[in-house]
Amino acid sequence: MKEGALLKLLKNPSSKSEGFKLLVDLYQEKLYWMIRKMVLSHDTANDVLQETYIRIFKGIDNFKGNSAISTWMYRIAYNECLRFLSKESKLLRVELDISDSDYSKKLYADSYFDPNELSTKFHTILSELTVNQRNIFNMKYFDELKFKEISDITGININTIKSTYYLVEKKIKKEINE
Amino acid sequence: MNRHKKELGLKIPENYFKESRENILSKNLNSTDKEYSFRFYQLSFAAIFIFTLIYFNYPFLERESINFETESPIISTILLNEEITEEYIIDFLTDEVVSDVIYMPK
Repeated sequence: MKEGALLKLLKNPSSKSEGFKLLVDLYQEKLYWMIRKMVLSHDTANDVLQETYIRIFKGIDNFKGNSAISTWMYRIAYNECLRFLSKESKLLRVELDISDSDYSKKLYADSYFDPNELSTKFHTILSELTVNQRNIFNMKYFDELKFKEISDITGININTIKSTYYLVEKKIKKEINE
Repeated sequence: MNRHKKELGLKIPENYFKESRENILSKNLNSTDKEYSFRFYQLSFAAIFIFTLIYFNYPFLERESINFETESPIISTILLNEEITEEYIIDFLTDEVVSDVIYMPK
Protein backbone atom coordinates (compact mmCIF):
# COMPACT_ATOMS: atom_id res chain seq x y z
CA MET A 1 0.00 0.00 0.00
CA LYS A 2 1.25 3.47 -0.87
CA GLU A 3 1.96 5.96 1.89
CA GLY A 4 -0.66 8.46 0.68
CA ALA A 5 -3.41 5.83 0.84
CA LEU A 6 -2.25 4.71 4.28
CA LEU A 7 -2.34 8.27 5.56
CA LYS A 8 -5.86 8.73 4.18
CA LEU A 9 -6.98 5.69 6.13
CA LEU A 10 -5.34 6.99 9.31
CA LYS A 11 -6.71 10.51 9.03
CA ASN A 12 -10.30 9.36 8.53
CA PRO A 13 -11.91 8.56 11.94
CA SER A 14 -13.99 5.74 10.44
CA SER A 15 -10.93 3.96 8.99
CA LYS A 16 -8.31 4.96 11.58
CA SER A 17 -8.40 1.53 13.27
CA GLU A 18 -7.85 -0.23 9.95
CA GLY A 19 -4.94 2.09 9.13
CA PHE A 20 -3.41 1.57 12.56
CA LYS A 21 -3.56 -2.22 12.15
CA LEU A 22 -1.61 -1.80 8.93
CA LEU A 23 0.99 0.34 10.72
CA VAL A 24 1.44 -2.42 13.28
CA ASP A 25 1.68 -5.14 10.63
CA LEU A 26 4.14 -3.20 8.51
CA TYR A 27 6.48 -1.76 11.13
CA GLN A 28 6.17 -3.74 14.35
CA GLU A 29 9.15 -6.01 13.69
CA LYS A 30 11.36 -3.25 12.29
CA LEU A 31 10.67 -0.97 15.25
CA TYR A 32 11.19 -3.80 17.71
CA TRP A 33 14.67 -4.61 16.39
CA MET A 34 15.73 -0.98 16.36
CA ILE A 35 14.56 -0.61 19.96
CA ARG A 36 16.08 -3.94 21.05
CA LYS A 37 19.53 -2.95 19.83
CA MET A 38 19.29 0.29 21.77
CA VAL A 39 17.95 -1.06 25.09
CA LEU A 40 19.38 -4.62 24.74
CA SER A 41 16.88 -6.50 26.93
CA HIS A 42 13.88 -8.17 25.30
CA ASP A 43 11.44 -7.29 28.11
CA THR A 44 12.45 -3.64 28.01
CA ALA A 45 12.24 -3.59 24.23
CA ASN A 46 8.71 -4.98 24.46
CA ASP A 47 7.67 -2.26 26.94
CA VAL A 48 9.23 0.48 24.82
CA LEU A 49 7.56 -0.89 21.68
CA GLN A 50 4.12 -0.85 23.34
CA GLU A 51 4.71 2.71 24.55
CA THR A 52 5.90 3.73 21.09
CA TYR A 53 2.68 2.50 19.49
CA ILE A 54 0.59 4.32 22.10
CA ARG A 55 2.40 7.54 21.16
CA ILE A 56 1.98 6.80 17.46
CA PHE A 57 -1.76 6.22 17.88
CA LYS A 58 -2.23 9.41 19.89
CA GLY A 59 -0.01 11.50 17.64
CA ILE A 60 -1.16 10.35 14.22
CA ASP A 61 -3.79 13.12 13.96
CA ASN A 62 -1.02 15.72 14.33
CA PHE A 63 1.30 14.08 11.79
CA LYS A 64 1.85 16.74 9.12
CA GLY A 65 3.50 14.51 6.51
CA ASN A 66 6.77 16.46 6.50
CA SER A 67 8.65 13.16 6.44
CA ALA A 68 7.82 9.58 5.52
CA ILE A 69 5.51 7.99 8.06
CA SER A 70 8.12 5.28 8.74
CA THR A 71 10.74 7.95 9.59
CA TRP A 72 8.25 9.63 11.92
CA MET A 73 7.59 6.28 13.65
CA TYR A 74 11.29 5.47 13.96
CA ARG A 75 11.85 8.93 15.49
CA ILE A 76 9.16 8.27 18.10
CA ALA A 77 10.74 4.89 18.89
CA TYR A 78 14.23 6.43 19.08
CA ASN A 79 13.04 9.17 21.47
CA GLU A 80 11.18 6.61 23.56
CA CYS A 81 14.41 4.59 23.89
CA LEU A 82 16.33 7.69 24.96
CA ARG A 83 13.60 8.49 27.48
CA PHE A 84 13.86 4.97 28.89
CA LEU A 85 17.67 5.02 28.98
CA SER A 86 17.79 8.36 30.77
CA LYS A 87 15.29 7.06 33.33
CA GLU A 88 17.36 3.91 33.77
CA SER A 89 20.60 5.84 34.27
CA LYS A 90 18.80 8.43 36.46
CA LEU A 91 20.11 11.23 34.27
CA LEU A 92 18.16 14.03 32.65
CA ARG A 93 19.68 13.17 29.27
CA VAL A 94 21.50 10.15 27.90
CA GLU A 95 25.20 10.76 27.29
CA LEU A 96 25.43 10.01 23.58
CA ASP A 97 29.11 10.79 23.12
CA ILE A 98 30.46 8.23 25.55
CA SER A 99 30.24 4.45 25.56
CA ASP A 100 27.74 2.62 27.74
CA SER A 101 29.72 1.11 30.62
CA ASP A 102 26.83 -1.28 31.43
CA TYR A 103 26.49 -2.61 27.86
CA SER A 104 27.81 -6.13 28.52
CA LYS A 105 26.11 -6.37 31.90
CA LYS A 106 22.70 -5.59 30.39
CA LEU A 107 23.27 -7.89 27.43
CA TYR A 108 24.33 -10.95 29.40
CA ALA A 109 21.57 -10.44 31.98
CA ASP A 110 18.94 -10.90 29.27
CA SER A 111 17.53 -14.42 29.06
CA TYR A 112 16.90 -13.95 25.33
CA PHE A 113 20.57 -13.45 24.51
CA ASP A 114 22.22 -16.49 23.00
CA PRO A 115 25.84 -15.65 22.24
CA ASN A 116 28.00 -17.38 19.63
CA GLU A 117 31.55 -16.67 18.45
CA LEU A 118 30.53 -14.05 15.90
CA SER A 119 28.03 -12.24 18.13
CA THR A 120 30.51 -12.11 21.01
CA LYS A 121 33.04 -10.42 18.71
CA PHE A 122 30.38 -8.04 17.40
CA HIS A 123 29.20 -7.04 20.87
CA THR A 124 32.74 -6.55 22.15
CA ILE A 125 33.32 -3.97 19.42
CA LEU A 126 29.87 -2.39 19.80
CA SER A 127 30.35 -1.99 23.55
CA GLU A 128 33.46 0.13 22.92
CA LEU A 129 31.63 2.58 20.64
CA THR A 130 29.89 5.72 21.83
CA VAL A 131 26.09 5.47 22.04
CA ASN A 132 25.75 7.64 18.93
CA GLN A 133 28.27 5.62 16.92
CA ARG A 134 26.56 2.38 17.90
CA ASN A 135 23.09 3.68 17.01
CA ILE A 136 24.26 4.99 13.64
CA PHE A 137 26.00 1.72 12.79
CA ASN A 138 23.03 -0.41 13.87
CA MET A 139 20.49 1.69 11.98
CA LYS A 140 22.50 1.50 8.75
CA TYR A 141 23.91 -2.02 8.91
CA PHE A 142 21.11 -3.99 10.59
CA ASP A 143 17.98 -1.87 10.05
CA GLU A 144 19.08 -0.91 6.51
CA LEU A 145 17.94 2.69 6.84
CA LYS A 146 19.21 5.39 4.49
CA PHE A 147 21.65 8.03 5.73
CA LYS A 148 18.99 10.72 5.26
CA GLU A 149 16.50 8.73 7.34
CA ILE A 150 19.05 8.22 10.13
CA SER A 151 19.75 11.95 10.08
CA ASP A 152 16.02 12.74 10.36
CA ILE A 153 15.55 10.26 13.19
CA THR A 154 18.54 11.25 15.29
CA GLY A 155 18.80 14.92 14.36
CA ILE A 156 22.50 14.46 13.55
CA ASN A 157 24.00 16.06 10.43
CA ILE A 158 24.00 13.67 7.47
CA ASN A 159 27.74 14.13 6.75
CA THR A 160 28.58 13.29 10.36
CA ILE A 161 26.45 10.18 10.05
CA LYS A 162 28.20 9.07 6.84
CA SER A 163 31.70 9.59 8.22
CA THR A 164 30.78 7.89 11.52
CA TYR A 165 29.32 4.89 9.75
CA TYR A 166 32.27 4.33 7.42
CA LEU A 167 34.71 4.70 10.31
CA VAL A 168 32.85 2.16 12.46
CA GLU A 169 32.29 -0.23 9.54
CA LYS A 170 36.02 -0.23 8.78
CA LYS A 171 36.85 -0.89 12.44
CA ILE A 172 34.35 -3.76 12.70
CA LYS A 173 35.47 -5.42 9.46
CA LYS A 174 39.07 -5.25 10.58
CA GLU A 175 38.46 -6.64 14.06
CA ILE A 176 36.08 -9.40 12.97
CA ASN A 177 38.48 -10.66 10.31
CA GLU A 178 41.43 -10.70 12.70
CA MET B 1 15.80 -10.49 10.62
CA ASN B 2 17.93 -13.63 10.95
CA ARG B 3 20.97 -11.39 11.13
CA HIS B 4 19.94 -10.30 14.62
CA LYS B 5 20.15 -13.88 15.79
CA LYS B 6 23.13 -14.95 13.71
CA GLU B 7 25.33 -11.88 14.14
CA LEU B 8 24.11 -10.49 17.45
CA GLY B 9 22.72 -13.56 19.22
CA LEU B 10 19.43 -11.78 20.00
CA LYS B 11 16.43 -14.08 20.35
CA ILE B 12 12.73 -13.50 20.92
CA PRO B 13 10.06 -15.73 22.54
CA GLU B 14 8.00 -17.96 20.30
CA ASN B 15 5.02 -16.19 18.66
CA TYR B 16 6.25 -12.95 20.16
CA PHE B 17 5.22 -10.67 17.29
CA LYS B 18 1.76 -12.23 17.06
CA GLU B 19 1.13 -11.68 20.78
CA SER B 20 2.69 -8.24 20.76
CA ARG B 21 0.42 -7.25 17.85
CA GLU B 22 -2.66 -8.27 19.84
CA ASN B 23 -1.46 -6.32 22.88
CA ILE B 24 -0.76 -3.17 20.88
CA LEU B 25 -4.15 -3.29 19.16
CA SER B 26 -6.12 -4.02 22.32
CA LYS B 27 -4.33 -1.26 24.25
CA ASN B 28 -4.93 1.39 21.62
CA LEU B 29 -8.13 0.54 19.80
CA ASN B 30 -10.15 -0.47 22.89
CA SER B 31 -8.99 2.51 24.91
CA THR B 32 -10.42 5.05 22.47
CA ASP B 33 -14.06 4.73 23.57
CA LYS B 34 -13.17 4.81 27.26
CA GLU B 35 -11.00 7.86 26.71
CA TYR B 36 -13.75 9.76 24.89
CA SER B 37 -16.37 9.02 27.56
CA PHE B 38 -13.91 9.98 30.32
CA ARG B 39 -13.15 13.26 28.55
CA PHE B 40 -16.89 13.90 28.11
CA TYR B 41 -17.46 13.54 31.89
CA GLN B 42 -14.46 15.74 32.65
CA LEU B 43 -15.71 18.53 30.36
CA SER B 44 -19.28 18.30 31.70
CA PHE B 45 -18.04 18.55 35.27
CA ALA B 46 -15.85 21.56 34.43
CA ALA B 47 -18.76 23.31 32.68
CA ILE B 48 -21.12 22.75 35.64
CA PHE B 49 -18.47 24.00 38.07
CA ILE B 50 -17.82 27.19 36.10
CA PHE B 51 -21.56 27.85 35.69
CA THR B 52 -22.12 27.41 39.44
CA LEU B 53 -19.28 29.79 40.25
CA ILE B 54 -20.66 32.48 37.95
CA TYR B 55 -24.25 32.00 39.10
CA PHE B 56 -23.47 32.41 42.80
CA ASN B 57 -20.89 35.15 42.48
CA TYR B 58 -22.41 37.54 39.95
CA PRO B 59 -25.17 39.18 42.13
CA PHE B 60 -22.70 39.44 45.00
CA LEU B 61 -20.20 41.38 42.87
CA GLU B 62 -22.94 43.64 41.56
CA ARG B 63 -24.04 44.56 45.09
CA GLU B 64 -20.50 45.45 46.05
CA SER B 65 -20.15 47.90 43.18
CA ILE B 66 -23.42 49.64 44.22
CA ASN B 67 -22.10 50.06 47.76
CA PHE B 68 -18.94 51.68 46.49
CA GLU B 69 -20.93 54.15 44.47
CA THR B 70 -23.13 55.33 47.32
CA GLU B 71 -20.95 55.23 50.41
CA SER B 72 -17.79 57.03 49.45
CA PRO B 73 -17.52 60.55 48.01
CA ILE B 74 -14.06 59.76 46.65
CA ILE B 75 -15.14 56.64 44.76
CA SER B 76 -18.23 58.43 43.65
CA THR B 77 -16.12 61.15 42.03
CA ILE B 78 -13.96 58.55 40.32
CA LEU B 79 -17.02 56.78 38.95
CA LEU B 80 -18.64 60.00 37.80
CA ASN B 81 -15.32 61.31 36.47
CA GLU B 82 -15.57 64.54 38.46
CA GLU B 83 -12.90 66.49 40.27
CA ILE B 84 -12.78 66.29 44.07
CA THR B 85 -13.22 69.75 45.46
CA GLU B 86 -14.06 70.79 48.96
CA GLU B 87 -17.34 72.07 47.66
CA TYR B 88 -18.17 68.67 46.17
CA ILE B 89 -17.39 66.83 49.42
CA ILE B 90 -19.48 69.27 51.47
CA ASP B 91 -22.39 68.94 49.04
CA PHE B 92 -22.13 65.16 49.06
CA LEU B 93 -22.00 64.89 52.86
CA THR B 94 -24.82 67.38 53.29
CA ASP B 95 -27.03 65.31 51.00
CA GLU B 96 -26.19 62.15 52.93
CA VAL B 97 -26.77 63.75 56.35
CA VAL B 98 -29.98 65.43 55.29
CA SER B 99 -31.45 62.30 53.79
CA ASP B 100 -30.47 60.26 56.89
CA VAL B 101 -31.49 62.73 59.62
CA ILE B 102 -34.53 64.69 58.51
CA TYR B 103 -37.66 62.81 59.28
CA MET B 104 -40.68 63.84 57.31
CA PRO B 105 -43.89 63.17 59.24
CA LYS B 106 -46.92 62.08 57.27
